[in-house]
Amino acid sequence: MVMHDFWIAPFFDFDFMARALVGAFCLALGATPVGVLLMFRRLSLTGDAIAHAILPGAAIGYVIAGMSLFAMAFGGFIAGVLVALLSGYVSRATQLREDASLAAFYLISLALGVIIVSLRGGNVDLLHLLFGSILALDNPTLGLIAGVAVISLCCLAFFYRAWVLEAFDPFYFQSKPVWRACVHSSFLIICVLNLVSGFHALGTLMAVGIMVLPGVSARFWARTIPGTMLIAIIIAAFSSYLGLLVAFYANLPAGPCIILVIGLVYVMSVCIGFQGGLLSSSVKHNLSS
Amino acid sequence: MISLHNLTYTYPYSARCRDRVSTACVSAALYNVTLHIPDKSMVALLGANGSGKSTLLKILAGVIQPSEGEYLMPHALQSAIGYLSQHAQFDLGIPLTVFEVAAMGLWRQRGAFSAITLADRAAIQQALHRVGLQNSMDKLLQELSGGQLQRLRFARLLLEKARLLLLDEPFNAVDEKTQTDLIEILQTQHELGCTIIVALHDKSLAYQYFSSQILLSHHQVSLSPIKSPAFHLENFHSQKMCLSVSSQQLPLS
Repeated sequence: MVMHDFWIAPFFDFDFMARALVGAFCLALGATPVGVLLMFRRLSLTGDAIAHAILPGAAIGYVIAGMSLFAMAFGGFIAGVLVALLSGYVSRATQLREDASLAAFYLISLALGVIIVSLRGGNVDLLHLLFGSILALDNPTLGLIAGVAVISLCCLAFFYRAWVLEAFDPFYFQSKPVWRACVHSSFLIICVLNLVSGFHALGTLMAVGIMVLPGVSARFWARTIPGTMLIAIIIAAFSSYLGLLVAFYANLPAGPCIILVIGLVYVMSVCIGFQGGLLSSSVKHNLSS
Repeated sequence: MISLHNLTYTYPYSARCRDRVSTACVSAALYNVTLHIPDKSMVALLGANGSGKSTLLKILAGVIQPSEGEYLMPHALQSAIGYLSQHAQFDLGIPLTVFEVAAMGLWRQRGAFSAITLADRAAIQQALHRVGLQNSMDKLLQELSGGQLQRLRFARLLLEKARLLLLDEPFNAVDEKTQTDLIEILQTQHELGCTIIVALHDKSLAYQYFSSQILLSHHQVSLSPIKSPAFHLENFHSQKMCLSVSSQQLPLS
């Protein structure tokens, strides 16, 4: 009974805890598998940059319509896609590499976003945009997060083969430019969608955390891509639950708690993961020498 | 017949060769190449590093477009080109098995969405068998040696059911056994009616196994039938020799 009270009761007694858990589970289902592909395409940092780029778009939506879900989501989506496309264009049209041009774009975006928000709102609103409000998810926001998760999973099932092939051997599409454009842009759009949905729960600074970090940890436990996705989803869901509990009992901000628990899982995975973790590598090394 | 007419390729960022007085374009990877390659031939493309072999293959494969000139090939070939680039640009950090990578060769038939049928699975297994990877089907790519990786690329190429095979120095970093096996596969494909063009370094290989040879030198075709009386193996390195032949375009075989 005590166990029940400690581990489960908060989610039954408090509506906002239950909503937060549902929202986090949806993010785990939708964003995490996409994050796994993001990692395999060596785009983890690109995800981070796009997440930051969402801020000015959401901020413009906020300035125009206040804390309106639709305006902020729409603005964020447009800004994210725009920066993804622009940085791709700059790196193709000039000698700058994509990571460098992305870094430039996301720094500009972050500064621009903060200034736009401060034009209208106070620090509370700014904090809300930067760190999200997973403990204050209302029905429309939950609907958005769940809807994005459904779209994202459907697209994953639909485009899986093309996405993986393009990640593995981009050259394969070089003589098929139309396909290449389709594959690349569909993936970017799904990424931005997930980041927008994560943005509402975890804010612009943490949204990419629940996307990429579980995948990076799962890499140490799984041998195949689908296996990595499955384990990443489990890690994300479990960490969300644990993180929310920690936040509840220790009275800490919930979003960072969730990300920090995933971070702990990551550190653990690096050390003892049997697919190339530190321990397994050193054991292998000792056996061979 | 694959026909190339006055094909020139200059790199996009060095298009200043027009200003130069010299007749040969210095920054061109290919300059004014005219060439005829009969269907169903098995051709070796020879030449030093930087002589334009890769560029020629890339143009035929449709990876890049020629700056000037044009090339024609029958539609049956155009729609079924298999191209093997010089270096595998695989991202080995992605955990895929040998079987899965070979299955990518079915892209043209199955596309992004169609199911891989039982018959397809049999075809994939057969292709892996042909290249000698039948015991490594479930291995991850990271576990393969360089030679095995090249065998796998051949298996994927076989599954593409190409009628025109373009291979860019496919035997570069493989041992002799692998090389012999892979050449045998090419010969079988040739007997099945494929047109095959292979860029090569190894002259003896080119003369031993290929029905005709093309020599590129200084971005131009210096020799295209091998059995031409003007050409001797020992003259291969002599640039004078190559350039003197380059003025006339000899029909192939």
